[in-house]
Amino acid sequence: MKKIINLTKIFFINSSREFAVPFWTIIFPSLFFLLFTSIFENIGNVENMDFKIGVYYEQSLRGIAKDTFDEVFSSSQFSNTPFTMIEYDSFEKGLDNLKKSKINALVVFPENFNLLNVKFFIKDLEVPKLKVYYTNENSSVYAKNIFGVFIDEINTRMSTKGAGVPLTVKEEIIGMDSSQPYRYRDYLFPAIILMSVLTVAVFNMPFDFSFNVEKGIFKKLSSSPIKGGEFFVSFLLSHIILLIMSLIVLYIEAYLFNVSTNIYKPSFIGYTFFSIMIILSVGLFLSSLYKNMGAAGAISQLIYQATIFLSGFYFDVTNSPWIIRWYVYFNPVTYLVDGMRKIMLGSSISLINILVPVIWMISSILIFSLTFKGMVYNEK
Amino acid sequence: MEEVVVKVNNLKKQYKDVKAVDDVSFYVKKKEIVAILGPNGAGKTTTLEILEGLRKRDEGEIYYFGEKADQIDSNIKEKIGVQLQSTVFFQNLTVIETLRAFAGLYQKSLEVEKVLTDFNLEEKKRSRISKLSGGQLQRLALATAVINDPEILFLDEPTTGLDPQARRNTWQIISNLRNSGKTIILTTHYMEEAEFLADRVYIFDQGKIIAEGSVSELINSLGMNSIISFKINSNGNFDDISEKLFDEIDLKVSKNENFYRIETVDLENALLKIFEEARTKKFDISDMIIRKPNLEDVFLKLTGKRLRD
Ligand SMILES: Nc1ncnc2c1ncn2[C@@H]1O[C@H](COP(=O)(O)OP(=O)(O)O)[C@@H](O)[C@H]1O
Ligand SMILES: [Mg+2]
Repeated sequence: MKKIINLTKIFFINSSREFAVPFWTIIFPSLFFLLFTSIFENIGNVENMDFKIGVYYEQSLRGIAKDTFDEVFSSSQFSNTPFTMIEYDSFEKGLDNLKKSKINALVVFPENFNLLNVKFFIKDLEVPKLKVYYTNENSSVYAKNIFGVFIDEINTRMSTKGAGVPLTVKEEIIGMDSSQPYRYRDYLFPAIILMSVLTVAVFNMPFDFSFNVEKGIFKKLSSSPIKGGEFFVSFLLSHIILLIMSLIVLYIEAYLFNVSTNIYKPSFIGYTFFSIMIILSVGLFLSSLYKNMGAAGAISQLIYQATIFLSGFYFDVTNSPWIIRWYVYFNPVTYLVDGMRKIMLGSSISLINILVPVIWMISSILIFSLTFKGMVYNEK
Repeated sequence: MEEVVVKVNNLKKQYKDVKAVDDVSFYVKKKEIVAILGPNGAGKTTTLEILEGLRKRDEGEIYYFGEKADQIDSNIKEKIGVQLQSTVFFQNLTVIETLRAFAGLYQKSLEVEKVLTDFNLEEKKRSRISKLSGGQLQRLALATAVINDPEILFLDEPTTGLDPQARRNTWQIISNLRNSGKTIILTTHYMEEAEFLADRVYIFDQGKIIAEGSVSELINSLGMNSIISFKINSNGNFDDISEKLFDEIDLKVSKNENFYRIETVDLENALLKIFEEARTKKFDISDMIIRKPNLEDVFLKLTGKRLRD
């Protein structure tokens, strides 16, 4: 055990000091995630936003309250804000549309809100609070915040009319409807994780492996009492540690970006680790194929690019022409991305998401263990 | 009789149609330095790596410390130190990290700081491997080979590629290791190295041992004390002269264009004859070198080839 820790540390330190390794494994995927979510979700780009706010009156507004709101909503100050008000005649309908992302927020004027009219005369009267419902979608949060600005505006106008106590708003966050097609970031997140894993399996591991074989480092290590098993556990572990670091960074990013909370579910994390094990064993298999580093580079690029584009990483590939489709179905990563997305959606994975990858894993490890001795001993 | 720590009987290893090791038998006694001398491709590395458990043998027996070793298991590996013919270490580790790493692979190990000083790597201990010179790398390779305080050291061409100064330093380090009680088996294609270091030498060629013994035994077996070589500048033909020299004083003459080489047990007599002939036959002798025979001459006599081309 001490030997495994020692060796893992060495492998890890050695490869993580190579600039390209942490860059492509950790930094690149997180930047990529950032970039893609920004481009495809137009974060912070107000021009493209068109907020729809649902309104439901439990009781019609009257008097000063009605005048003030009408005045604010029609005022030129907000006319260049892309706001559309949709009035609902039932609360349930409004809430349902919010859950389905048809509107971005729902404002409810409660019963007795007209007491506001009397508040100008009876100061310590309790006016019921306005209620704003929103979801954890970005645009919904924006809509809710911008609505807050409306209320501030109304408060200043009312205080000029003599109402000293400002209006308060009660906010409530609503869970998304799960049948709702989820956002691009949720779609992308599993792909980004697998991209990082793929980098390790297709580049880091085989390159490390063929370098160590070619330069006799493995041979030197095998002249010590270390056992073959300890040796490869350490080799694998050192790459897994780097991956875990990458996952931590990606999860922090996901947290900051409000990616679906499904990614914290044990089933998602469990399936992620399952995917890591599968892809890394395929990486071992690749390692045993590469006899010299030049070929390793070219083949790795090919596999990486093909897998990235043909596993449904960024778009759906199930409708692609047959010439591509065989790769799609042959490739274990297709099933892994699909499995992770299913869990992300809250539905359960099917047998094929486990079966095909496991077949890959078993055959990879088998082939690897048959060839690695000869490679280390330079007796291919 | 001293204890035999390594014994090899009828070792064979074949790669396709190349007999890399062809029925080799030898032994190494405790605290001895044994050199395996031979040209490139003689089978030195293959032999050593079979002993180190890094390659499989086709046939033959190996005994370590008197016990037959069918597998080179971890018990044996604890007790041997290995320097491979060419090892590149982890490029991004420092010297001290590398030594600690190897120390951590064994049950017992020497103190890393002490080894750093012994191998003159103290100043470089925080340098990355990629920044070391050839000599420093070679010393590090030796340092990693002794880090487990082994009883037997295998050194595969420990000075190949080093400049003469660095080679001398390495020889000194190897001598010190012997003096500290290690048994050392080294391979080399430098006959000076074998002459300087080895108690006994096995000369390898084409997978076979073609001669064995101490350096002086091997040289004495040539039956000569001195080798005279010189160049002749004359218009005349020296062939008949050499024939005469050969007849009269029993000299062995060999010739390559106008370079001549004479082996003799009686230096004085041979020189007198050569100069007498030169005077009477009127030719000039130049670039004369008189030297003692060495292992190169042994190899030349046995194989008709030079150790290095
Ligand atoms: N892995 C191998 N595969 C095929 N042939 C090999 C291999 N290793 C060594 N040989 C051949 O065996 C012979 C002996 O090689 P080697 O032991 O490296 O010689 P040396 O160390 O004396 O230079 C050479 O002809 C070499 O080409
Ligand atoms: Mg060799």
